[in-house]
Amino acid sequence: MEEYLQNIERLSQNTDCVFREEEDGAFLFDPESGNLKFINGMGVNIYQLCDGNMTVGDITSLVSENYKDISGKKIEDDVKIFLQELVKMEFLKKEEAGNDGK
Amino acid sequence: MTGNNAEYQLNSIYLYLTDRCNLRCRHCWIEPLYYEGREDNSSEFDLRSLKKAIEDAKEIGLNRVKLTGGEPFLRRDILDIVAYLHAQNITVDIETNGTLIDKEIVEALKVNCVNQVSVSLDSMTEEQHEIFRGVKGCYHDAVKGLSLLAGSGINTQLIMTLYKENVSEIERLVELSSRMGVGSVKINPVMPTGRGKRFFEKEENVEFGDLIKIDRWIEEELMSKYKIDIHFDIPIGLKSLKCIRTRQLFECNLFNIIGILSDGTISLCGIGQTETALNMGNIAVDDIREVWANNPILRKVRTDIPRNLEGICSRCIFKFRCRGACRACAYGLTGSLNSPFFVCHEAYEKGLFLESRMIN
Repeated sequence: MEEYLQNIERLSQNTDCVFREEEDGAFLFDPESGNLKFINGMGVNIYQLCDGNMTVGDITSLVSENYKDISGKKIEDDVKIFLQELVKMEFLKKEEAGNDGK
Repeated sequence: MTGNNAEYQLNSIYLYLTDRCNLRCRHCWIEPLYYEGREDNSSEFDLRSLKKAIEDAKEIGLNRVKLTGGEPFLRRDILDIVAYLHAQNITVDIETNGTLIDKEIVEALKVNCVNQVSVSLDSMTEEQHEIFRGVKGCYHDAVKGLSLLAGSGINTQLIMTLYKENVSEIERLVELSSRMGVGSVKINPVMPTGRGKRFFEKEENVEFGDLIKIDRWIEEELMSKYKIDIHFDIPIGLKSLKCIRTRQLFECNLFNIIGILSDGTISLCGIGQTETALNMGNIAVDDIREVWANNPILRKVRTDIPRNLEGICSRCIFKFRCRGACRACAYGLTGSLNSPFFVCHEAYEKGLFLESRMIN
């Protein structure tokens, strides 16, 4: 069973993977596993917020501010599903508990 | 991937029914013998050997066979083979020049639920098609064959081989296909293998930059204008972002395919007709399961692709998906299964390969 992301978790980009922007989005590619994913413009914004400092909760709050006509719960669910997928594909890493990301 | 046999299923066989052809196509990579008659050829594999190979291959995953050639309908027992494959619950696709198709054949293909028949047509101009295909009268026969197939409800595909002189025919052929009820159009730029080498020597092939422009034009204009599937066969690394995101692309399932040549030789695909070093046995004497499991060429392919691809293919972010496009063509050009695919190599050399699709 997949572990659900918690609001207090911090995520950072896997620097072994490559990020290539193109038109209205970007490709994420892991040269080792071959994993490849295209993310759209919003996905790029969310991915770039994963700096090891911001929590998942911080990120969903920031996204919510830009989509006031959509319920906060819906945005939180969608952002978490997106981030969970990037974690599963190893484009993002969870920061160890206790590491404040600084 | 370790190259361990257990990881790979043999899903598909390219079955080259004959090495004879009733046309003399200027580009053909197989270079079949020109032959007008329909008599059986003693050098072609027999039905008993084929049945043994199919039944063995089913045990390791076989579910699809593409019948090709030479011209497959020159082989007298083709309809027996189609019926046998259907009885074995194998999906059957056929590639033909269309010139020998008649009502009786169409009916037999329908009865045996053939999945798709692809017919070659390169121009709406009779003279141009016939100069390219090398035989007078073949244009009308091909159009008639295509019409009979499309009219019968069989899933039909028009295959166009593209070179410099027939670029202006693309839209005309797409329009014809749309009007006839053909299911899809596949456009294959001529390759520098077999007889196709001469196109490149004489610079009759479409320029690499123009291939990319044609791809975008098809995606942005032609597809919406005619509402028909058009597959332009260039590697994914050169495709538009929209195409990559929204369309199913043709990719060689290199790890799940094997070729059986007309004399029963087992090879990587049709390349074995000219590159005999890629041959791995013969269905008359060898067990296809054993070949699939242990042949050193297949083991090398499974180990090397995509990890040991060379040149631009080693740097492409799509290499795990594309697997170097056509490895047979790469081998035919360089003698190496790992060498870069020539279209991407040339695009890279000319600065046409997007930086965003490369790793260092």
